[in-house]
Order: sequence, then C-alpha cells, then structure tokens
Amino acid sequence: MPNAELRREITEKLQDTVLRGALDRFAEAYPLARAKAYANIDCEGTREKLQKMKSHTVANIDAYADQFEAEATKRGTIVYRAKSGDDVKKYILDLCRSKGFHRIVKSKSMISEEIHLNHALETAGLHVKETDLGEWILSLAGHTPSHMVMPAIHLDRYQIRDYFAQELEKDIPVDIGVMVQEARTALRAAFLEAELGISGANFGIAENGAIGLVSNEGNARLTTTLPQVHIAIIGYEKIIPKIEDAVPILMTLPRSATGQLITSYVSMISGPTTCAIEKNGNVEILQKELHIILVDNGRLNIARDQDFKHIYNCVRCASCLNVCPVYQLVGGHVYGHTYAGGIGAILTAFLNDQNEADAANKIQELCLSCGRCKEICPGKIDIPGLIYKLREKFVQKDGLPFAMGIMFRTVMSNRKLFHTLLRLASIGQAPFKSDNMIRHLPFFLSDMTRERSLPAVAAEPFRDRVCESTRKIASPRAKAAYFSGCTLDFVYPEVSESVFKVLQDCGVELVYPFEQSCCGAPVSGAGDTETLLKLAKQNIKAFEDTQVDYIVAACPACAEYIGHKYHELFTTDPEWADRARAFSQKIREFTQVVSEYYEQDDKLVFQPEGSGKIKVTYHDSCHLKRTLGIFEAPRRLLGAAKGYTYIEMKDADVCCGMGGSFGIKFPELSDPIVVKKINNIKASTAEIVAVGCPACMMQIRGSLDKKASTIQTKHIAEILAGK
Amino acid sequence: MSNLKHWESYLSAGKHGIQYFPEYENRAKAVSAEVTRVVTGQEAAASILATLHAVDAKMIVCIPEVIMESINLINIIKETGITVYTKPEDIAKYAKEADAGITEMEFAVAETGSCVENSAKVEKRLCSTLTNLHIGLLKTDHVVATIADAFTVFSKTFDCGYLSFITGPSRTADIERVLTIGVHGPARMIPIFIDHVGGIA
Repeated sequence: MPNAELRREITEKLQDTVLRGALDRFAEAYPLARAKAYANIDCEGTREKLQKMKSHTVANIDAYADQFEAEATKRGTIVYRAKSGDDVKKYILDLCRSKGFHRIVKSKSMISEEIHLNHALETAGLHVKETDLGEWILSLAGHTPSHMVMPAIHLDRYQIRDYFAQELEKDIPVDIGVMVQEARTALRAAFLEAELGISGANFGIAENGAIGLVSNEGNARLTTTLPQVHIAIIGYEKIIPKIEDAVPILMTLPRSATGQLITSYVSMISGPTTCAIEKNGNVEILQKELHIILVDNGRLNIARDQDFKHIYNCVRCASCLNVCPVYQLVGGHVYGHTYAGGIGAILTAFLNDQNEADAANKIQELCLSCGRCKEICPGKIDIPGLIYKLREKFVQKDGLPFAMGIMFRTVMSNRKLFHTLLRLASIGQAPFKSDNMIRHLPFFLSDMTRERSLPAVAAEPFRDRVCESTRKIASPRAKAAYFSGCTLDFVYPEVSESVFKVLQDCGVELVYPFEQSCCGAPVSGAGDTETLLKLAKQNIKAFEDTQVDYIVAACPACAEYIGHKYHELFTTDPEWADRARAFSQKIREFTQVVSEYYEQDDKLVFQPEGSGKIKVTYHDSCHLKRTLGIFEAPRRLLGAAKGYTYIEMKDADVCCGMGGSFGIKFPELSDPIVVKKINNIKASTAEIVAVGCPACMMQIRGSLDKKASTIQTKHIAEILAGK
Repeated sequence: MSNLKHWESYLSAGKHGIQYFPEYENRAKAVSAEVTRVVTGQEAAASILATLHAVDAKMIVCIPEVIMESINLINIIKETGITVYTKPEDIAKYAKEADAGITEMEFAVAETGSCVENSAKVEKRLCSTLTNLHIGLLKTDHVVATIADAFTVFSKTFDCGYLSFITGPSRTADIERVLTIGVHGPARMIPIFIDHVGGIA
C-alpha cells in the first residue's frame, strides 16, 4: 500500500484547483497540437530513426564519450567528467573561487535540479539567477519544477504576479505581457553583469565535440554569449555520434514537447568562441572559456543494464507526462523533486542519490500501465514495461510487503486454495451485496466503494456452469480451448457463457481445461517472480493435452500476459521456454477471432446509422488497443450488430482508471479518471457502453451503478450473444 | 570555424532553391516572423529604412557582410541621421541600448520556417540577441527544403563555432501557457529576402 506521505501529497494536489484547471486545459489541447506539428513529416519513420540512433549510441557509449571528449578538447573546450553531483558542484565552486566570480546566470539544466546545484552555489555565497522564465518564477516561489518543459504550469498569473511584486518591490498588474516585460528587464541586468553562464545541453556531438541547445526564450543564447566563461552540464545520455544525428532529435523534441515544428532558437556550439568584456568603460573582445561537464551520477549504470538502457532514448520532451492520466490529475510534484511521471520514476531509481532512488519505489506505483506514453514517446521507450521491471527489482531487493507476500506465495500459487477462497468470498460478502454489486464495504476499505460499486463474486463460477454451456458441434470448423481468467470465471461467469454461445454459434468446438488458474499478470505487477513461474507452469500444463487449434481469451490482460510474456519467464530453462512458446503461439483474443468468422460468413455488414434502436458506444481497453493492437474488430462487430446503432465516444481510448490493482490502491486517483470516462459515455448519448475487458467492465459498470445511471455496461460477447 | 561559404555545393540541385521560398514564408509567418521579400537591393534598403523610422530608431548595430556592402546599406542608413555601429568593440558597448540589429544570414529552411545564423564572432550574436528588433538579410533562392538538408550541409562544414536556427521572435508560454512574444531575445524578427542583390542584369 502507498505510504502516508504520498497519500497526503496526492490529496493536496487533488484539491489544488489552479493546478487541476491548468492540467485539464493542457490535456485537452496537447494531443491536437502534437498531431498538427507532426503533420508535415513522417512521424513513425522519424521515431524509428531516433530509436535506432540512440540504441546504437548507448551500446557504444564509452567509445562515443571518449570521442566527444577528444574532439571537444581538440577545439579548445575544457572537458571534465563528473562521477557524481558532488563532483559537479566542487568543480564549479573551485572555478568560481579561482577566478573570483560571484555572479552566475543559468539557462535550463535538469541535471542542475537533479543535483541541487543552486543550493550549493548559493550556500557558498554566489549569486545565481535562473533565466528561463518558468525556472525564475520557481526560484522566486521556492518551488521545484512540476513539468520538464513547463516548469511552472502549477501556478497561475495571480500567484506569479504576487511573487513578482515581492521580488521587484513594486506593483505589478495581472497582465501576462507586462509581467514578461518586467522579467526581461530584471533578468537582462543579471545577464549583463554575470561572469559565468551555466547551461544544460539537449545533445552533445561526438564527431566535433559540439553541444546543442533548444530554447524559445533566447535565454540560452544570452547565457552562452554574454559571460566570459560558459559551463555546459551534460549527461552521458545526451551524446550522439554524428552531426547529422541531431536531425531526429530536432524533428521530434519540439513537436512532442510543445507542438512546435521547431523552437525559436536552436544553437550548436563547438569550441570556445569570443566574448566582449567591459572594463573601466573600455570593451575588449577576448577569447571565451568553454567548459563541458559530462555527468554520470548513475547514468553509466543505466547504459550497462540490458533492460533499462532504453531510457537513453529519452529526449526529455515530457510528452509521456502530457498524456498520462495520473499526471493530468496530480502534476509533477508528487513524483519527487526533479523528474516527473513514469519516465521520471525510472530515471530517479538509477540516480546516485539514495533518498531519491528509494523514492522511486513509491512513485512507480503511480503508473496505470495504460500505455498511452509508449504510444507517443519519440524514442519509442516502453515506459510501462520498464516500470514492471523496476517493480521486480524493488521486490528482489526489499521483498514483498508482508501480507502481499503471504497472499501470493501461499494462495495464488495454489489453485485449489485460491479458488476455494474465492468461493468463500461469495458467501462472505452477502451482507453488503445487492444486485450483484457491493455498494459498501467495512469502514477500513470504504474508500474503494466511494465512486464505484464493486462487483460481487458470483455465487456460481463459470467452471461450475461449463457443462450447461457446452454444446456438441456436428462438424466443427475449429477446436478451441477457453482461457477464462479469474474475473470471467468468478465475477462475470455470464460473460463466459456468452463467449461460449457466440463461438459455438460460429461452429467452433470449445473445451474448458479445469486445471487453469490465474494468468499471473496481477502477480507480475507486484514483481513476485517465484509465484509467477508456478502459475505459468500450471496453465501451460493445463492446456498442453487439449489438442486444440487455438486457445481463446476474452480478457485482454490475460491474453496479453499468457500470449506475450510467458516465454520471457523461462530464460534459464530452455525446456519450459519451448513449452511456453508453443502455448503462447496458440493464444487468440475473442473479438479478433469472432470478427474473422463473421467476415468469412458475410456477417460483418455495417448497419446504417439509425437502423438499430439501441445506441451503443465502445470503450477501448488499454491492453486490447495498445498492447494487442485490436481496436477495429470490436468496432466492426458492434457496427454490424443487428438492432444497434454504433456511436463513437470522445477519448474512447483513454484509460478508465482501473489499471490492474491501481484502482484498488489509489481510489482517490482512479475515481476522477473514471468520472471523465463516464462523462464522455453520457455525452455520447449511448444507452449501452460495450467493453472488451472485464477490468474496464468492473470499473465502468461500478461507477455507472454508483451514479444510478440507466446506461448499461456490457462485454461485447454479451451483445453478440443477444444478452 | 564553420565554413558555410559554398553551402549549396553540398546539396543536390532539387534540395534547395527559390521553389522552397513559399513554404518557408508560410511557416515563418505562422510563428510571427515578419517575412519580407523584395526584388532589388534598393528595395531592401528602402524597406529597412521604413522599418527603422517607423520605430523611431536613433542608433543601431550592424555586421555588414556581402549583401550589406553590395547595397551600400550602412551609408544609406547613416544618411538618414541614424547612428550605426559596425565595429566589434562598438557593438559590444552599444548593442544593449540599440534600437535594432541587422545581420546577414546563411540560408532559410522551408520545413520549419527557420533561418540559419553563422556567428562564431560574439559581435554578430550580440546584434541578434540583445536588440528588440532583429533584421536578417538573405537571398531569396537561399532556401533548403528540410532540417535534414541543413544538417547535410553542417556535417560537411561545421567544425567549430556557433550556429543557430532562428525561427521567429523570442517567445515564452511559461505563464498559464499563454504565448507571449519577446521575453529575452528580439520581440520582432524581420527576415528580408532579396531576389537580386546585385541588381537586375
């Protein structure tokens, strides 16, 4: 369970109306702006180029870092390799001391946030000015950034006016144009008197030792132009091999970050240039001094990790935050002090700062695994996949929480015990139950039923109804086995009955192997590999003897897990790996299979609008759409269903907020997410919302029930079965 | 130094030329660059004078290179009573108070509406960073199709120095995501494209 501090932070952010308003408006505007920006280039091709270039670089990071250093040095740049944040701070402090510098201007550098550079410099008596407008506002407010690209998105003009008035000691009108001019004047003075400029870098080119800077305000150009000395702080992950390798970065970063084709300024600096120094009224043009600090601080460990090296593909566009349903609710601060969102949790886990790395353990829980970030990441990073790996790492290191460990090791790994407990649960819940929904829970669990009614465990699971559901098929077109998964067995057995009816109506002979158990996905989410192996073996064995053409599942989370992940579990056991592969190859998803049969049987004819009486809309399950890539089949099935008119709802593919156990762990976050979904369902005017996933069904049906809505939630199988 | 003198020679003929100007113009105007196209150097000078007098400019900083020299721009401006600084030390001293900065740029990029500035020398950058109004001079047929084409040139020519793409004026959206022009750099960016710098033959 999440710790109390994280809970408190979440509650605080949820109550921050300024933040919620800003994030809501941004979430609405961002996808359109991004799509428009990519309209004039080949988005997928560019993402692939970026991914390929970055993967090649990280595989050869030592050689490219050496080349970068050598080429920069050859051109007169002073390169220093810093192992830790302390090394960076010491280097800069020593330099300031030896030159007698007191005044520093900074343009944006995430590493400097990561290592708390400003604090160290100010403690040593130096005057440091952040010059990026957002960062300057934060320095006045004493805040940390809540977004990598828009650091002050959590503040509004009124709050910012107050900070300006306090800093500049005069009245400032609430007028953004005027406030920006005031900032320009105040910071221009700081630029002109600074002796040292510190910048970050968006890329560093090994071929000629150049650094690249991407900005809109022009502060990076002033920071690197005016002072006598320029220090660029750059992480190893920013190194690219060749000058031309900057192209995929420049084609994606501005488009993904802010929906711009390019930022106002992109500058590349190779070697020291000149600077103008005014002394006693005379101005001299002198040679400038350029230092590059190449920072490790945990980054080289990432490069050498076979799973996590993929985060070198990150260009820090923050688009993963922009589409994250959880970020949209709470903003960046709950994720820790520097890097927000899923990518932030992963980066933070590898940093040298142990407190930060430990914090990553709590913030990784904030991932719904909905996969929207993976879909749009310019570097094609599988962020939810890496979060899973991160969970595994933490479990290996710290072990499971006590209760969860007992639950998984003793209950989940023993099918009979697990299923007996589920049956007992159906009796135990009786006092709280009405109409197959639990509306209240005992007080300590009551948060879980605040926005949704939870489904009751059915009195009779599907496994007890298999005989009545199974028909003899005279000359079957195929023989298949059904993998129900726990929910469609114990919670929604009626959906499984519909699955049987629909497939049998297509002429498929179906069998149900009774030894099947939980697919393992919930356990994998918690990082318990040991229990996972037991479950996988149990399921593989259960289906091996069935002699079927394929195995069908109507739960996409199960289909994904047993179809794509099982063989990865047995990396050190070739025999089981082969058995797992043979098993996985047979897995088919229900809507996909049925749409193929209907197509062959000429039953996929789209019903013209208005021909059916009942209006139905569809909600995409994250697993079904983004992992299995299935989103056309369900729509075609619904569009062809007799008696229905299909209506597409707004944001159909945005997560419903269930996210495996997320909805149970964080009801306070899951609730507002499902409320948005319900509002879109209502706005569609549909009477039925169809889903292809039992977890979405639980979340959406529960929420509609709680609001006493007349809109029904049905699995597609039920609609096709005429239920 | 990055030597962009013969940049065209690194691109095949179809990758650059006046045919890309309309796309450049559309994209640059979309991000508030005040794109101006003129036929002759005289028209360019007239356009610049009109702009400078419209803002009541008293003193400006300039880096004259090939284009400005061939159209005698500095003298034309001085004759109208505006003080013009062109020496590095003078620019360094006065750029922060100057009413405008005028520089020459290498080529434009159609895909993004950008102009490329080659400015290893600090005085050139002071003209385009510190002033509130930046005028950049280019030839109309100096437009490449894409950012990738620009980098094909850089990969052959960029050894050391300071290269920038400048795309419209300085902007920020850091307060409530409201687009605001002119935060640290120039609030106005006027690229002037000249069809025939040396006059019509």
